[in-house]
Amino acid sequence: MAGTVLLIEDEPNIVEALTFLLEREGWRVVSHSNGQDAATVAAQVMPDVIILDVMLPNKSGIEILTEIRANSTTRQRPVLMLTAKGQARDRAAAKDAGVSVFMTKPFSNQAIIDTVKTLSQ
Amino acid sequence: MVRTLVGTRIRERRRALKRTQTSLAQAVGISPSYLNLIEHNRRGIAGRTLIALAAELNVDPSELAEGADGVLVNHLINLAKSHESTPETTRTEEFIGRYPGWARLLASLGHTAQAQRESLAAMTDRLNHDPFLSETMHQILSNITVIRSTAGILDTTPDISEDHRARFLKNIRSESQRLSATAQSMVDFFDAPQSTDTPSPSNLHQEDVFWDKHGYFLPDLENGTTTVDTLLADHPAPTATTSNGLRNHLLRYQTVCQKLPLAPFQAALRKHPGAPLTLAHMFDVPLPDVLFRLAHLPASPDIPSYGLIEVDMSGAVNIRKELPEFALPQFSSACPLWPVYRAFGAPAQAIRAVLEMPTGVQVTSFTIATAQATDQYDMPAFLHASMAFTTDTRAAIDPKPQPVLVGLHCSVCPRKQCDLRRVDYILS
Repeated sequence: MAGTVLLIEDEPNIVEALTFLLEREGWRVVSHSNGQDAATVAAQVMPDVIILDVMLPNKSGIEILTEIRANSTTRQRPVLMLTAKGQARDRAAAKDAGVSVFMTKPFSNQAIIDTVKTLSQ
Repeated sequence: MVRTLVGTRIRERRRALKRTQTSLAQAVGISPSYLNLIEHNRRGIAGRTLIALAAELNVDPSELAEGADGVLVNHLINLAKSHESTPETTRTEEFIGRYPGWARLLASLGHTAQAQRESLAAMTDRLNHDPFLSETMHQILSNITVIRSTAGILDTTPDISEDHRARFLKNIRSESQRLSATAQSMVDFFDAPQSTDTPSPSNLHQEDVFWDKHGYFLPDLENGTTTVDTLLADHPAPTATTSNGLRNHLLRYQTVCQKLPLAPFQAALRKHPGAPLTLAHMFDVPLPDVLFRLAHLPASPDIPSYGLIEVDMSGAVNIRKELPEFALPQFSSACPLWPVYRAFGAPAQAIRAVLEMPTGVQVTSFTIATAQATDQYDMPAFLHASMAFTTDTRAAIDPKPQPVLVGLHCSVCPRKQCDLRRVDYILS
């Protein structure tokens, strides 16, 4: 097994597609759709890579990323952020919060796989 | 005949008397920076200021006022610089002297062209940043993401199980349908007649640009080292309406800051981060001034960051400061459940409420509507409502009230059962 990916995303069809893609590449995928306790889940799962959507119910991806970086157990975990907005403001906020890689939807399947591989190394 | 400009004459006369700009400015009650603008013919001068300057310089006002209009000269020179052609800018004053009507017409046309360029830029920017369109684009891109990713899987996985194939085909179909419906709603949205209650989005946008640039905090204006006029000179407005709106906002800022000085107000806010009414009592000022001041402070980790919306009784937005988590309409109409509208039903009543957006984001809000009496018979009082809001939990209401479920605007609000819905949800 390549490792564990925590997928924090609220669009079920995106979760299904990404889960299939990553599992096909040998990753174990844990998905979570609620922003409220996402950082807590990250600390429990301790994934090799976190894929995090910017817009989530109850808490934004930026807030979750800030919490992940503030927690000593998850501080070093690589985080790939996804957004459908691609606005400069989102990018700047994500960078300030400590994002590893920022990708804009729609993304190519290969780009996601390559990025997760790179981040896990 | 080439005539010397008013500002130039003032400067020459001042130097002849060996007076500094500061002393002369103080003597006539204007700022040195504003006098500097006058002396360099970047500001016109007339009336009391001209008379006062003439008296200080021991000359007759007519001796200073006589000659070509310095503002017009500079306007034409700047117009020439912004154009590819190369008019004889060294003879601008002569041109104005010989053909004053044509000169004013040319300046007016240049001003109109500049205003149209600014409006076009503002409208283009609005297409990129309007919260309604932003939400719609977010939905469309999410739909496309699923379709692209799922189609890619089907295309590159020949040995995919029948179960997966069926589920992915179903996902593509459902996302395609949502995409079609959203696209159709968007077409309908643009086809609909434009609301008449949106007279000046570009004006508000121009003000947003100014305040965003300064972070809603102007230390030089607070400590008196600059003036409203100087700030406006550095941020030329494309239209008179924009200029007036920004000027009023700046004057209000100046007045409120005098009542609520930065350091004492910040100290009080640290002790009472979620109690604007307490702050109003402490400083003996009306609550709207406190709400305004809360949104005009330097960013600091030890005090909450507040947003602000001020509307008049028609619902038109006069002042707005968004928070990243809580968008505001550039148009006049937002969610009718916002306390800033409810406040008109109970003027002078301070309202505090927790608002929950469809995304789950909660803000603590403080609102009040105030009435301004008119001095004419049969004229209604002018009602004006202010709502300050923050996501900072240090400002939370204790005990926490039941959140009011609100949205930004019906068109992007998924609360389909809301009794106050005015228009259909644009997204599928």
